[in-house]
Formats: sequence, structure tokens, C-alpha cells
Amino acid sequence: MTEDDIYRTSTQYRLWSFTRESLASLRSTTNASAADGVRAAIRSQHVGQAGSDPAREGSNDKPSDPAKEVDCLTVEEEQKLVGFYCVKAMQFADFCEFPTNVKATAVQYLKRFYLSNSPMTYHPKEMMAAALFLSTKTENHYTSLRSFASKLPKTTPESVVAPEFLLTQGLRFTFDVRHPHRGLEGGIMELLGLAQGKGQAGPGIKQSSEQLQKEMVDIEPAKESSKKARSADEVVRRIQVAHGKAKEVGKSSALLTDAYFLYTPSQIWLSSLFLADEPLARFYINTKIPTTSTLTPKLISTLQSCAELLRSSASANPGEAEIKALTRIDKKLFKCRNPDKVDLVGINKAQKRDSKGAGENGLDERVIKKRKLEREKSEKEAEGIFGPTLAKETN
Amino acid sequence: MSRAPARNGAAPRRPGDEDDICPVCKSSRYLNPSMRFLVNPECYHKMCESCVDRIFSHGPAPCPVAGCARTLRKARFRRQTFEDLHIEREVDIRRRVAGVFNKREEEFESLRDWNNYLEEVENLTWNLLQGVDVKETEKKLDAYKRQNEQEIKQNAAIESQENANTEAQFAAQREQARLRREAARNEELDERREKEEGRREMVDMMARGDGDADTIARETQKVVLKKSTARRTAAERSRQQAAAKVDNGAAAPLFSIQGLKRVVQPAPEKEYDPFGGYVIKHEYYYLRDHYEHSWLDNARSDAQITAGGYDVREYCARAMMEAFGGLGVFVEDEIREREEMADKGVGTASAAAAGGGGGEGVDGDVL
Repeated sequence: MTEDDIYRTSTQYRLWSFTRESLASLRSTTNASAADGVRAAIRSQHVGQAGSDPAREGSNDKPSDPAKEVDCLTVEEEQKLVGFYCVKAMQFADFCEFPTNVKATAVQYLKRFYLSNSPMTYHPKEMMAAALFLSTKTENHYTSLRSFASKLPKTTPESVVAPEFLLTQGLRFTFDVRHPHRGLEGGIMELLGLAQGKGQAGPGIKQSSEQLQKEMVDIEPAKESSKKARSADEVVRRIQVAHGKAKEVGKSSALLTDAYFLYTPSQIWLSSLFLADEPLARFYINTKIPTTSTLTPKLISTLQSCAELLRSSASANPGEAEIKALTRIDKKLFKCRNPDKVDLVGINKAQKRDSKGAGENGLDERVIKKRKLEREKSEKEAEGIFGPTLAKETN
Repeated sequence: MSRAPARNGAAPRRPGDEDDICPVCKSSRYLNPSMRFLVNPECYHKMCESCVDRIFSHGPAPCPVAGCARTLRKARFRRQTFEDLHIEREVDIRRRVAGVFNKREEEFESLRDWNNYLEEVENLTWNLLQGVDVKETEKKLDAYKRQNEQEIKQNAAIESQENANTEAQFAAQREQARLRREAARNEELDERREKEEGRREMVDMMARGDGDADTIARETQKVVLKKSTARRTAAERSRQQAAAKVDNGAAAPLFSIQGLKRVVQPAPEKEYDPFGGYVIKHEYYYLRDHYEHSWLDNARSDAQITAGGYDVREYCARAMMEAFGGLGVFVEDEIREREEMADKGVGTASAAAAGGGGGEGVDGDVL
């Protein structure tokens, strides 16, 4: 088994990797089916209202279909909205001082969830809190629900937990997200070793560590204006600078774009290194894969396209124009939300057994009440010395 | 004519030596006291040793008995074991057949099978003994011998091993008995000597005249008694020790439990591989023992971290694995291929689900 085979066993590869086309088509089908759902829900609500108010119907001589008039969000608008809440999630994670992996996982959860669900059905504001809380659990960073909810405005513990099952379902119960961050650390560790003349080239390349160290000093500078490195120490400094830049890319644009769906984590961190210091990244790839290999040009072109994607990412701090556009989308969303799915807390409660809302879900309210009384009675009796009375035999 | 003086103990008397005249050369024991008779299992005609030497020294020759004319070899001549030559012959034949048909009861699934087999073998033997269909029977015997050479050899080995075991056991028992006898004899000698000494001492003391004769006699008696009991217990102890020694020493090679089923020796176990042949082959890097990274140094030396068993090398291995896991995986190509497979219907249902087609299944909501 090679490293690649091991990556192929991950759920990220098996379930959450897409081509650009399949990603786009998946999003548009999700949008279309969500829009249908919204229209159907609004129509049924309207019919219900009309049935209870026949006088109004009589006055209305032209029965117009309100559902047809609903202006649903487009795929791009949905994307923008989700992106904005991803940024919000990152800001909130920073505010709570969560580590990078929690933050990154939460953002990926949101992105994955909104591949198969639309913001018109479930508002990202609610999902954001749930995603962040779920990721503190899956990334092993314990935070109590109460303290978590108290940090968010207008949020109760119930509202954080309510969409959790929905979210896990949307994630297809796969909680593992492979991030590029640790991989970047690994790569930098090796680069530092190479710079200090202790490194080793990959299998299949015969170059001594001294040779590599010498070559490293000769790498062209990242920008034409900057000077060439003269000693190993300067190379180390250069690596550290590139490391810092690449880290920033990994923490922001890698999360906000579709990079996780389109590329592997290993390619993502190498592209961020590409953005930070291209000659260094090229040198590093050459120490790993023989230049004669057919893999190299393909890898370079993949890395370049990934780097392009990362560069084009929306900034983590949206400008004024963007905010304006976002408020417009949010207003539009207010009109086209699926009315059945607004009260997530209520829906969540209704699903639970013996809850108040269960009346609609089959069990009669009287039955529930009776059961509750019986239970309370038997509990009270059980506390007595001789236990509860035996059930009477029916004659 | 008296035979007794002829038997001067020169040749030990053996069955078949009664007819003291050789049927071939007609010489008698009277003339040759050391005469011995030999038979050849080919025809069981008896003749004296000098006749055998004379006739068969120059190679195989026909039997000199009138009307026999079988070709005999000198090497096959031997002394007879039984007086009756018919029995001698029967035993020979039985031994030969048993050497070939040496299957064991353990090899059969049921007693009935074993008995059937025995009956078959007995029929064969009887045929040979009585001279019924000898040619055919011999052929059968030969064929069986050729077919089952390996098994016959194995069973023969087992049998000889068993015989050796029983013999060794007998020898051990004999040796033990001898030791016991010797010990008893020694004990007796000691006792007698001590008694003698005691008496002599008593006489000496009386002669010296220090004390009353009666008390001296009583005391000496006591001493002798004490000595003898002490010796007896010591002897008992040494006997027990000897027995234990014999037990321990002989137990390992000589003692064998009978009635055990023989088990086939299992093949030697291979070296244990906890991963069941699962190997990770690094394609892009060699894992090094030490990586230079400023913030790893802290983890290496901090007692709070190392006390729990945290090993920085684990982190390094994981970081390197994540750095290159999937470097050569081109999602764009591979996923497209997978989708095409799913579209063609070649792939499995899970592949179709993994290909992204499953998205609709998830978005149909449960509420």
C-alpha cells in the first residue's frame, strides 16, 4: 500500500471528492428540488388558509397561484450566502479561540451539508452553530453546550442541538475531514531538514543531502526583486517565511473555496506553498518525483490550477459591496424560505417520544397524558416501603 | 544305542536336532558331536552344516533332497526355531505377510472395518499356507506391497519404536528390581555387623568393670536399637530417593503411555505478523528519525507531554503521511472515471452512491 492508496480509503475521497461538472450539477439539482419543495409548501399553506377563510376566496375572483410567484434563490446566491456563513463560522471560532482544525472542520461540514441541502430549506445561520458545535466534538475539543450557546447572540442550547441530526445526515455520517494543515507541517519539517543538509530525497532519486543543500541555496528567489539566498541559514529563513504564508492560505482560502472537493489535501498544501514561494515548491517536488516521470507535469498543472482556485477565493473579510449584496440575498431568502422547516427546534422536539408536539405524529394527546399520569403514579408508589401495588386482575 | 554320551554340551540342544542323521550325507551325531542342522525357508528340507557348506559355497544350487530341486542360496539357511517344520514354515509366512499388511487398528474408522481387514489378511495367509492359488496370492501381496510402500514403512517404524519402548521399560524395571535387592542385602549386612559391634562393646565395658552389668547390658541394647532404627529410616530414605531417581531419570525416554492416538506433527509456526501481511510502502519519502522543527523540540523535552507516552515520532510519521497521502491522486480524472463506470452500470451500487448520485437520496428529508 502506498500513501495514495491509503488516501483512497478515506471517506473524503470516496464520498466527498467531485469533478467540477459533477459538483455544479449536484448543486443545481439540489437548488431545483429545494425550490420545488418551497413552492409546494407555500401552496399547501395557502390552500390551508384559503380553506379556513372561504369569504376571502369568494372576494378574490381571479385565483392566482402564489407559489408560482415565489422568487427562489439561484445557485450562485446560495453559494454566496453559504460562503458568508462560512466566514461567520470562522470568525466565531476565532472568537471562541478554537484551534484551526475545529474551525476548518466546521467550515467543511457546512460546505458538505449545503451540497445536498439548500439554504432555502435550512437557514445557514442555524446550521452554522450546529456545525461548529459538532466539529468541537468530532475534533476532540470539548466545549460544554451551555457555554457554547451563551457566546452566540440569540442562541439557546436547544437551537444549537436541534439541527444536529439533520446535519449529520447531510454529512452522510462521515465526520472525518482530511485537512492540509498537518501535511504542510510535515513538508516544512522536511524542507528544513534539507536546508540543514540532513534531508533525503524521495525513493528513486539519487542525490546526496550535501548536493541537495547546495542546490537549495541556488534556488531562484521567489520574486524577481528580492535577492538570492547566499547561505543555508538564509534558506531556512526563506522556508519559514513561505511556511507562514502557506499557513495563512490553508487557514482561509483553502477552506472557503471548493478546494477540498476538487483536490487532495496533499495537493492543497503544495499549492499553497506554490502561492507562497513557487521556485521552492518546484524544487521540493523535484526532490520527490524524478523529473523523467510522467507524473511531474500532470502534478504541476494540477497544482497550478489549485493555486489559481486558492488565489481567486473570496476574502475572509467581505467588503461593503459584498455585504450589501448579501443583505439583498438574505431579504430574498426571507420570502422564499420553506415554511415547513423554519421552526427546527419545534421539529426536533416533535420527533422525540412523548413530547408535546407528538400529537401530530400519530399518538393521541390523551393517550400521552394518561401514560404520563400512570408513570408518575407508579414512580410515587415505588418509593413506598412495600413497592407499588400489584396490577389488579380483570374479572 | 545311547545318545547321552554323544551330547557333550558341544552344541546346545535345539529343536529339530533329535534326528541325529543328516538326510543328505547320512553322517550322524555319533561321528560328529558338533553337528548342527540348518533349514532353508525355500523348501524346509533339513541338512547338516557341513552339507550346506559343501553344496552351496559356490553359489546357488538345487536342493539335494530327492524330488525337490528348488534352487537354494547359502545365505538363506538358518537354524530352525520350532521342532515342527510345518510350524516353522507357518510362522515364517505369517511374519512375511504381517510385515506387508501391517496396518494398525487406529487407522480404521470402525471395529468392523478392522475385523474385515484382518479376515482378508488371514484368508491370504491361509492360502499361502495351504498352497491354494499361491501364484495369484503372491501377485496380490506383491502388488499391495508396491502400492503402499510408504505406509508400510511408516507403520514398521512405529512398530519398531513401540517395541523399543516396551523393551526399555522392561529393562528399567529389571534394573530397579536389582537395585532393590542389592539394597536389601546391604542392609542386612549392616545390621549384622552393628549387632556384633554392640555385643563386643558390651563385653569390653563389662571387662573394664565400670558399672553394673545389668545396666551396661540394657544401655548397650538401647544403643544398638537406636542405631538400627536410624539405619532403617536412612535406608528407607535412600531407597525412596533411588526410586525417585529411577522414576525421574527413566521417565523421559523410557516411560510411554499406551493407548494414545498418534497425532500428526503440525508444521512449524510462521513468525507472527500482527498486520497480516499489510505493508505500507512509502512512495514519496523516507521517514527520518529526527526532524528539525522548533516547536517539536518543546514536545520532545517537556515532561508534561512525554510522561504520558507521547512520542514525537508518531506525530512526524502522521504529518509526513498526510503531507503525501493523495499527492498522486488526481480527483478530476479518477472521479470522472468512477462516474462513467457507475453510469454504464458496471460499478456496484455503492460506487454509484459514492459517485455523487447518492446526493438526492440524502436531500429527500426525513421530516
